[in-house]
Amino acid sequence: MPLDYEALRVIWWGLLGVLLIGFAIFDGFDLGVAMLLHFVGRNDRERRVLINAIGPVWEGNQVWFILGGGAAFAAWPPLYAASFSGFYLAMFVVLLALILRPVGFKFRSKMGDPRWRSLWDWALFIGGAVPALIFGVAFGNLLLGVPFYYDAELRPFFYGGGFLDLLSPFALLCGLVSVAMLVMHGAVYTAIKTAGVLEERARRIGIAAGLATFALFGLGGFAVANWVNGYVVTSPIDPLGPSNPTLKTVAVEPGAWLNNYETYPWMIVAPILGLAGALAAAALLHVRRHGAAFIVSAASLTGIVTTPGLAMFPFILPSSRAPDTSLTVWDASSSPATLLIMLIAVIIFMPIVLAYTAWVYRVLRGQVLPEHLDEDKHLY
Amino acid sequence: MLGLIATRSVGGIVPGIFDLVEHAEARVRSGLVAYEALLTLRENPEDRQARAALEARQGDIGYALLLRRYIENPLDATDEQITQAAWDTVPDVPVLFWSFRIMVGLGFFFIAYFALAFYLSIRRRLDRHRWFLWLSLLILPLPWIAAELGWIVAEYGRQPWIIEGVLPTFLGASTVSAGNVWLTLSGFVLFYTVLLVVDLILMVKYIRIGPTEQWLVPDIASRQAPPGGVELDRELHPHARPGE
Repeated sequence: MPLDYEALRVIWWGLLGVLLIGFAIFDGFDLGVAMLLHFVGRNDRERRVLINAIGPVWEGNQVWFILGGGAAFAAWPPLYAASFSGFYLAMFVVLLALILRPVGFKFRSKMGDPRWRSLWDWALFIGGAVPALIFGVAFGNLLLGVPFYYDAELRPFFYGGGFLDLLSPFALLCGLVSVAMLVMHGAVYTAIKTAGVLEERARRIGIAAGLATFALFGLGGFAVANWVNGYVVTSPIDPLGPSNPTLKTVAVEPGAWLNNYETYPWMIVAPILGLAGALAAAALLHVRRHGAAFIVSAASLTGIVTTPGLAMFPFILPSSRAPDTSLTVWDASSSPATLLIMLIAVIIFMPIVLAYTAWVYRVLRGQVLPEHLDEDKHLY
Repeated sequence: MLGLIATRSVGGIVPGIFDLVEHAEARVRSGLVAYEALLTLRENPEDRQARAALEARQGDIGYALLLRRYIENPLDATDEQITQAAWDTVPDVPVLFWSFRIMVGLGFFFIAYFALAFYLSIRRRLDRHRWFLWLSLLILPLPWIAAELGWIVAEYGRQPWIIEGVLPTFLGASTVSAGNVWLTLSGFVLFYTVLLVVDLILMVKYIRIGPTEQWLVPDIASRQAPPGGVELDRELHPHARPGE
């Protein structure tokens, strides 16, 4: 086999990260625009401009989320089982909010009554804000550890772990980082896609959101260094070992999530990218370089998503109640054959997906203006 | 016919229930040997004898797990419990018998219906016969019923397995509490019912507007129609008045 089990596991750990980053960058801006609907668009026409700025692309963007879930199912089955059951009610709330999006987009334009339209505007707002918040909260809980254990027959069990238990102060801080960064990203996108008063409002909100992202993400880093316990594998690691998360011992130590950054100093690039990108996005919006602002905003999102991933490596889902059965890259993957076959599928299909995505955005380039609403009857 | 479907051969034998139970009982006993070998290996991964025993019979280990419904440690199972576990593999015959036959019957009906529809369509008579239009309307739920029956055949018919021969359903369920499952299930039912009501309101509204030639609907409602309205086939609609 050209790639050994260790390499395949690291590659699939990286691909999971790529999918999450793809989701943050692509679906992130349309979640952000949905959150900005009431703050940038003050009347029906303005909101229709915003809705049509993301109308043709949001569904495709959301597929990154589905792909992430699918990749977890196929490449990291124990992670899929533990997280989908452990975050059961949180997933339920996210799904309800996400289901509001297609109906919001499609139903809103079917009647002219202002109350009807306002109802679906709020549905779209919830569909943007709730997932943005909960995805961040989920990341926070990854860092804190989730209350599950794997028994000797490799079945996951959960302790209590209700929805409200997920909302600890640190997890909520992570949720706010997520909301701030997606508002920033959505505002930059809006500034590119609209003109006049909408562009101006989005620009001002984007500057504030960029600064907020910088401050909140920095605060999050401070919290991880000082208040959050990290996890360390204390038994010998066999990167080629069987996918059985019950065979190791794990210690919980304050500040241990920073160990990787001491061992591998190059990793510091990720948090710097997250912080500097957010600041640069605010600065570039200030000087009205919206295109460049989008690139640094995307870079900031990449850094922010990558930072906890690198900090936790090799952990992918630490267990707060039974740290020894935490899931790591070395003991929670599919078989080598599964990983290899799916890697081949990724190598074939990912370029195709990226190519047609690039083509779609090329076709849809340019601004959405209020006059377009009158010209094109196919708009929402 | 059933032999063809079940064995994919002309001369294959479809075993009866009692043969199947006997076969299952043998596999439970074989699975117990594999289960014991697995426990030995978990204590001592170097035990070659246990590894050989496991590799020889690992395909049956799921059958031993069926005993977990009756006893915590399958190795302590009595003969009655083993027989009971073997009988668990017997599906609910009347339900599956009728589900399968109704589903396949509907499938043949659909073939006949679409052959007729195709014939009427190429003769441009699709809308000439009232009974055919009524039939088309009334059979709308049938594909859904066929799909649900297929679901029953596949999922209910596979019980007690979630993965046939490998993992019993009662061991494959997550530990999410029944209360949470109730909450999400009723939440989704309520949520989708509300969306259904909204959808029906919109459908009734657009049915009332009707397929008129000019789609005299203000603003956004007209966006689904081609600009300038739909051109009706004069031959088929001799009485339709323009501009209606």
